[in-house]
Amino acid sequence: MSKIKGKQDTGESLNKKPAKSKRKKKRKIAIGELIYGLICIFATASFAFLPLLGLTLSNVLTFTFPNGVWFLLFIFLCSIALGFILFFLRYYVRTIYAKKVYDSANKILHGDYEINLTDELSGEYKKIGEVLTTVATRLKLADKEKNDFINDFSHELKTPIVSIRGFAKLIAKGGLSKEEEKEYLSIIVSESNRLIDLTASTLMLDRLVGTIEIEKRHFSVSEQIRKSILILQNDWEKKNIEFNAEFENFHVYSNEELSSQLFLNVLQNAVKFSHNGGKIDVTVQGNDRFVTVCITDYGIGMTEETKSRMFDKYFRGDKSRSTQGNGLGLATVKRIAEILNLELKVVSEPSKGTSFTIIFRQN
Amino acid sequence: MFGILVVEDDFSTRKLMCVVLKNAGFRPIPAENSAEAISLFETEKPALVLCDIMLPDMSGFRLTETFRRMDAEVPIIIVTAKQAPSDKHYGFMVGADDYMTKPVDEEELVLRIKALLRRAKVAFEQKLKFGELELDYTKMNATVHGKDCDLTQKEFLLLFKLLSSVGKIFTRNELMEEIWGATDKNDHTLNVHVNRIREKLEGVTSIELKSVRGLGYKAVKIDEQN
Repeated sequence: MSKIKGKQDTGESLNKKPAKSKRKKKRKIAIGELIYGLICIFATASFAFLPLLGLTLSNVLTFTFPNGVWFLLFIFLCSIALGFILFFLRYYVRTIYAKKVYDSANKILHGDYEINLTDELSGEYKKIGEVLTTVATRLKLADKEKNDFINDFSHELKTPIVSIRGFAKLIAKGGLSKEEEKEYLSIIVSESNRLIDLTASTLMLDRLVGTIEIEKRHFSVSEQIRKSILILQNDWEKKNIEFNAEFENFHVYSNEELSSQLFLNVLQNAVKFSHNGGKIDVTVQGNDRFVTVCITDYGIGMTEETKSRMFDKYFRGDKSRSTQGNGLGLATVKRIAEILNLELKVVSEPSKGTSFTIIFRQN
Repeated sequence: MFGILVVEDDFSTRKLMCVVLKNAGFRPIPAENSAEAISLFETEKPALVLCDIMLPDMSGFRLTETFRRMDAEVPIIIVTAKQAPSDKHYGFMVGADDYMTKPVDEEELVLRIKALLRRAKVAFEQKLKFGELELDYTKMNATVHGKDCDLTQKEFLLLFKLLSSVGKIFTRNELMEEIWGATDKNDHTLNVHVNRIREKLEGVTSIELKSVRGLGYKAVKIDEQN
């Protein structure tokens, strides 16, 4: 009786499988399972139909009773054996595969990310193996990114800190003229500001790496741009820059915080790379499908080389001191545009200026 | 003198804040941890509290909750390095009136403190003076050489806001929201008010209200213009 139970168990558990498995494109697996299931059903069912078969055969072929019995017994034993073999195979495969998966998962737990199970397993274990391999690859990448971040950041941090310490020591030593002291102190202040910007930008950019959940809502993109322009009021008033920012009120459905940061970074660049007394044009246009923002400066512009690298982290196009930045502004812009699904277009010509176009899709 | 309780565990940050506050005319009351802060809060009864979040013995959020329970009115500003929106929301939920992230701009801090104290009807910097023009927030009137300009309440509030931050541009939306409550699509109201103020201040030579095309309005000192 237990043998029959064993077969039935196998049959039933396999019958359940096609219903439970997710609708993926792996039809091969589904078909394989189906065939497998059919064999088991047949093996089990064959036993049930045996008396019927026996009766039919004995009627048709006029077997004498003893021979019929042997024949029936033979069929009976074959189906048991078949069922058992199938069950055993399945069990054996499962154990081997399960062990492989367990070993790989254990490796990952202990920091060894060099595993590859993509081609070693089959059946329902194939999927698990693939996912586990992907997890290991991702963890390896995350580790590398973490190390790169620490290295880059520490490196960028050193320069302003060394300046601050240097000038502070000079002042502490004494014997400086009033002008010198004032100059050194102002350098300390500006280098400190640079450090603060670097920290804030790096943290912001790091927050955006990888997939993140964002909240979206309706807001006036026109008002947001105006406010962003005014955040930089000190910077552009100092350079006597004039903003042409007359536009209607347009609304978009997006994330306010990130959108604001994007505009701030683009505007900051426009101000930074404009000449004294220059102007910056900001236009906002919209229809029921798109809202298009265009920020144009008439400053130093970019060479083809600079343009090709402008979104790289820590890349600074202009090495002169007056326009020093940390190189993260546009990298952040690009990342935000990716996250918010905005289209970015840049047009630039050396000595003529640069124009950034940002397009919001209205859903 | 107005006492400001400064709750901050880092030595130099605390010292810096106290010096900045002292220079701005306040009386700083430093506290290194929550226990000290609570005891000082009871004895000194500060006019405002500046509270850091990362404290050694109790979270600044819980400390704010405690202060709120002890006094429902006192203005509390949370100052912290945490800047996720959820932290800001939580700060407001536990009863803070304002939230600033480090590094704090000293000027901005002082301006916000003054604004909060003003709103709490604490008589501090309720008066503005530019040459012959004087504004008194408690009386809600503006005088030129002592003579009342006859401003309406909205006109006064608008003028006071612009003159509180001379040179700073405010967008039309910002001004409409703060003074009229809602973003009235009709900012013709705003234009009319600005013109009326200009008319009533005719003869004032120290300051001027300027409209910045596309962006908003600002008040400027006349002798500093270029």
